[in-house]
Amino acid sequence: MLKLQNISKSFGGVQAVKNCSFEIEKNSITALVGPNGAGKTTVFNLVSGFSNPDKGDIFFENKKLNHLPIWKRSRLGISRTFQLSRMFRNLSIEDNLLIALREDDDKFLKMFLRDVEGDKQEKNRIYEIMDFVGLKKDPKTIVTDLSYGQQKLFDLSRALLNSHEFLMLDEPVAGVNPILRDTFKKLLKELKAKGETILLIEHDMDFVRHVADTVIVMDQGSVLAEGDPEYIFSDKKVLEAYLGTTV
Amino acid sequence: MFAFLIYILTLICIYSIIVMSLNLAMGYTGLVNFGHIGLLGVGAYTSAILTTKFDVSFIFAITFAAILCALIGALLSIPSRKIKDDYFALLTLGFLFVSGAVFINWTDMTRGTLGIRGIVRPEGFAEPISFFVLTFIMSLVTFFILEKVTNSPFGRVLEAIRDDEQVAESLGKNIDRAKMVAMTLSGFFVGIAGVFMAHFIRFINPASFWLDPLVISLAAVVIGGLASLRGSILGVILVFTISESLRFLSLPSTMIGPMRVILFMIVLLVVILFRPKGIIGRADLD
Ligand SMILES: Nc1ncnc2c1ncn2[C@@H]1O[C@H](COP(=O)(O)OP(=O)(O)O)[C@@H](O)[C@H]1O
Ligand SMILES: [Mg+2]
Repeated sequence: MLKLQNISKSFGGVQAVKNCSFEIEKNSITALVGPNGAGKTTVFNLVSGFSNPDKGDIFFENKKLNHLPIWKRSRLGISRTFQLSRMFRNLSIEDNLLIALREDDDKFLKMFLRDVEGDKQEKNRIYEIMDFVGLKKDPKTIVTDLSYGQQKLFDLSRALLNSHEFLMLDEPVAGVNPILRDTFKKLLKELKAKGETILLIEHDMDFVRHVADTVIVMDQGSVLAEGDPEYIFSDKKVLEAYLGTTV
Repeated sequence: MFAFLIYILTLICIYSIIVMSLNLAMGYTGLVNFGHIGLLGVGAYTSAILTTKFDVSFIFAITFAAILCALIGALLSIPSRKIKDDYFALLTLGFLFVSGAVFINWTDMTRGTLGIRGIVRPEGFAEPISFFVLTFIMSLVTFFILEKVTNSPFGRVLEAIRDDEQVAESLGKNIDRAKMVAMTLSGFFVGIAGVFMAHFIRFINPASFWLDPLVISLAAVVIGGLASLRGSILGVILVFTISESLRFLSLPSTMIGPMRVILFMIVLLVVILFRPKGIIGRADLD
């Protein structure tokens, strides 16, 4: 589904991603792990179009993505979250999510064709997703009133509502309490059962072991190892890269 | 006194159009456009020149001026793809300077600093009362159209762009096109306001579209509140109430101008400090 071929990216003197290649299979959960500064978020940015590679190619469903604008990649089916929540901070939860769900709302002339029945269905779809992830909050409240944990659920809801084939979650459970972490484990497995393809960034080995089919370990911008979690987390090289950072 | 009241009410209607259209760009879409008053001038000069020099009808002049300003608005949106926030605001200030320079220097058309006199009101609306009614209707039409736009899903996308345009784009929105539409509409309506201004005062010169109207409009939009059209109207009413009440203080006329600006600045500062979202606004910029 997604293929990175020899991707490199530097910022000034910092080589954030170095000759990085990997592939993601349809209907799988892949965990991207590695110490802070390994280049994981940069990989997300390169795939979603927030920045462009200096070298190498990115393919999504066999279509070359290089230099496509962000919104076109989203329309091809790439949906993502951010390591630190980013929201439309002056709008309600509901409006934030409606923007993710609607596909033609950036067309000015479409606003004259409003259908009340469709609006109602959209709202129901949003309440369904909030229910599914367990985001219990009045949808009319301003989005900045969400607690940290609720923000993480909101991020997931928005990424799910944005029409997609492929989900990228940047540290969806960083800093959340153990109960919510378990909720996320369950949610991710349910999503996979529904046919989703997910790439997520996460430090916690136990979490990754539980949810991921494949683990990709990055260190200093390159892929250090790749394989199933049991094998990867017994690998000496990997443990070395990890030790002192998260274990 | 009655004549004075009609005069002020007409100005309030014209400024409501200016400030609502400024709010569409600035409050809803997050594009701080100091060039707005330059566009006001382009609308005013276009209609003044067309009707006094080329003898065209008011209807033709206003249509032409509005479309011209809409096009310039669209063009002004293009640099916002690369140039963001304060830098974009600075660039639009550049447009204000350029338009001001054109009004001063293109003397064949604009008569430079002498300005254009003898602009006439449209037939049937020569009387202050009837011209006021026409202006009032135009400001109502503007209000309802912009209310429709801003309450639509498209308006919601504009607000998303204001709050975080990259995230809006990552949700599949063509943000360049949406910003262009917002600036086009904003330019269209401020162009219309410019035409009304020219035919109301019946005299324009480059100073009519310089810093005074810019300060008044910015004060009104911020005091009333970003992303609220009702707020914009309220802001205009407040600003004019403040500024006109100065007349009754029997100050020397040379002091009224500076006093007015100082007063706006004080009110602006108070609002920004104590009500950052304005009186009935719904949004703040970073
Ligand atoms: N926009 C940027 N400008 C400059 N340096 C950056 C930028 N984004 C990332 N980097 C640098 O690239 C490296 C990788 O960062 P990142 O991809 O965020 O790592 P990770 O997500 O694995 O913690 C870091 O050294 C970081 O400082
Ligand atoms: Mg990161």
